[in-house]
Amino acid sequence: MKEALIARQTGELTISSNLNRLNQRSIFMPEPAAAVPVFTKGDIKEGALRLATKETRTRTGEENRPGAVLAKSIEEKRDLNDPESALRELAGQERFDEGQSAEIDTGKGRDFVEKSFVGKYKGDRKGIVREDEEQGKYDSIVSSKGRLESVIKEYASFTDAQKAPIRNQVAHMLRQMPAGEALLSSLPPTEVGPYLDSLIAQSSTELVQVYNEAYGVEPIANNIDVVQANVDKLKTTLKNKEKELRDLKAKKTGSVGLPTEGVPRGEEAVKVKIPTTREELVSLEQDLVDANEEIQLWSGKLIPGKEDTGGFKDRLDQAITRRDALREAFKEGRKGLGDEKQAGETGVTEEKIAKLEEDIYILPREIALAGLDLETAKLDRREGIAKLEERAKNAIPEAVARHLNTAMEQAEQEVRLEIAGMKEKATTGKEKATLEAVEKAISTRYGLKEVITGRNGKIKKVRENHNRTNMYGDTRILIEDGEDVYMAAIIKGVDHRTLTPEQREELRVTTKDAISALKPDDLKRLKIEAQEKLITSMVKADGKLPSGMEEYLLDTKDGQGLIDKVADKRKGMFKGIGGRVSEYFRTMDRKKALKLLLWFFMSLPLSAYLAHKGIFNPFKSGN
Amino acid sequence: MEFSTERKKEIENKILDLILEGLKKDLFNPQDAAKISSFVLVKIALVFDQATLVNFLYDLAESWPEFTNLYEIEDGKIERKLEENVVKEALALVKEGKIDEALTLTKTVDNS
Repeated sequence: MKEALIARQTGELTISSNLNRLNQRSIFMPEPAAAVPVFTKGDIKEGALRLATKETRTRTGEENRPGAVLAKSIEEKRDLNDPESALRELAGQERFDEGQSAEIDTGKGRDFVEKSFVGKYKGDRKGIVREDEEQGKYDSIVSSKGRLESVIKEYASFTDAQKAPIRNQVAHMLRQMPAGEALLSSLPPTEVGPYLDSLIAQSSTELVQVYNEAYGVEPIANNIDVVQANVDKLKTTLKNKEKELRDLKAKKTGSVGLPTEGVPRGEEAVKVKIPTTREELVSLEQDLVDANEEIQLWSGKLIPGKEDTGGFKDRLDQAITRRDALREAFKEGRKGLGDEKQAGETGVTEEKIAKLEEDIYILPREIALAGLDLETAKLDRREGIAKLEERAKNAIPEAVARHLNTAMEQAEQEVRLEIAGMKEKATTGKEKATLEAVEKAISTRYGLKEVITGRNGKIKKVRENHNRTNMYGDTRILIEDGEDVYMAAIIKGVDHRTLTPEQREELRVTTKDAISALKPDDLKRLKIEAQEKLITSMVKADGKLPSGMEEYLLDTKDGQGLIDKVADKRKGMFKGIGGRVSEYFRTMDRKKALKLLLWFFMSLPLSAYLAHKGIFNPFKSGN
Repeated sequence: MEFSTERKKEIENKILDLILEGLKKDLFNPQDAAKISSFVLVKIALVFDQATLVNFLYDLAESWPEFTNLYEIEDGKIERKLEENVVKEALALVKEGKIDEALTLTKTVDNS
């Protein structure tokens, strides 16, 4: 730069060739090219590319190649304010979200779209062209729902290529929700497609629900209040469904009303009265009156001491029988003698009962609302509620984990960049090897293996954690101290499952030694430091903690102290700087947190001890 | 440098320009374009500042050299901006006869 700008001279300053060039430009060019005072390699290459492009154009001059046709098609409908749509179209990731046309005519997958979908949506789409933008937006969502429902019915028979755009859309919808995004991110890439398939296969109702959530109707639960509300809702639904089922069964068996303790059921139960209309009752009453009149008629014809030559006695008996039957029917509330329905026959079918019993199971829609996994859909409603209640207890910590995961992911990206820079400057082999080890640890996302030990160092359990807190495929040593479990050490790059029994025992002993070496105060400090970092990383741009977090902390041991500490940090954070800086600080803090995690744990006594023992050396290349 | 939505669109448009140009010139076929677009859509979501942008463009150019130019332009943007400012200030200083200050100023850029 210095050389480019100013050439060194003795006594008198001369302007360098570059500055001269600037001056010359101002003379020879109508518009001074002040924005690009110095040509870069990029500028030269750009020029070369333009030349090459020109030549190519001249040489080929073809407009019918698939590439040229595609380019032309994209250019025609290209919106400079929405380049993402064009990129998605090029990538074959056509979205069917609001306001987007399905009328696409190139590519295999899009042919399918044209044939299978457009006919179904075109009518919908015509309906949404309205002056009123808001109404149009609403209708667009409605019509999209309709489209989804149509699509899902045929989904099972689709090929992978045909499924792709729909999967993309569902993934897109899920990503609109924090929990959906976290869920998808937590899945290995190979499992995302099958997961989306399973979601799509559930039924259109659930997808529409998901769709509603995507448009902000109701977010997937990730805090205690929402989960608790879902639990309450499920409980009410369960109560209603169970009552309905009991009523239906009682009706079938002929018992009246709800069967309760001590009330005779089944054959012993009182026969149910079939409801009749007022008109039917009036008609029945009239039949009874007629029957009585007939009885009087025939009884009047019977004269004591005189021979019954007209068969009046038989007619009288028939009239009496008929009257009695009518009286019985009236008492039972039947329509009359011609009514074929008998008491107890209520029209209750096995299918109706089966359907209701099925409803006792949790609907997948409710599962989605509760943020539970789909497996839970097979649970009885009661079990589901129990699970939900359990989830409600842990809801905030999960939200915390998700928040941290996002933060860690961003921090990881920053650290990657930083490591790349550091590698360039690294001079010794050891430095390079260390950086490579860190890089490898970051890129190896096998899932973290946690070894939980008691205070005595005894391994209590090894668990695999599948959420995104697991980034490095390392073994973490967690210490269980009463109800608290916190991380004491991390063994980078080691999958606990791959250890031999001997290595496992060695690990147990060394862990015990390492933990024993830590004083209770050290443990407490470790725990509080980890919590502080976590909570500080959660401070939002407005300087507040996420909803419910403060309440949650207040219920925990040391919670108030943590809030005070974080509040102090927040004060410092915003003092005289303004809210805009808070976001920057937050980023910096995450970066710092990850760096601290990376380096802090690598330098823990345990790591050093393991390295010393030759079990694992984090500074050795390949680990 | 903050990475705004507008800036993201600007980069996407530049990439799109290059893809479309490549398609027209037969440098890419539609399959290539699909791969590039997918790559861009996934990776650009992780871009949040100029540094990550340059990193992303580096990856892009590594896979498809046709984007090397764009990478180099963006990579040099910060430096060029600094250079522009220094050129202006140095010129002003030179005009005022403050030669030593102008030299010192250029040295600061060199050291940065």
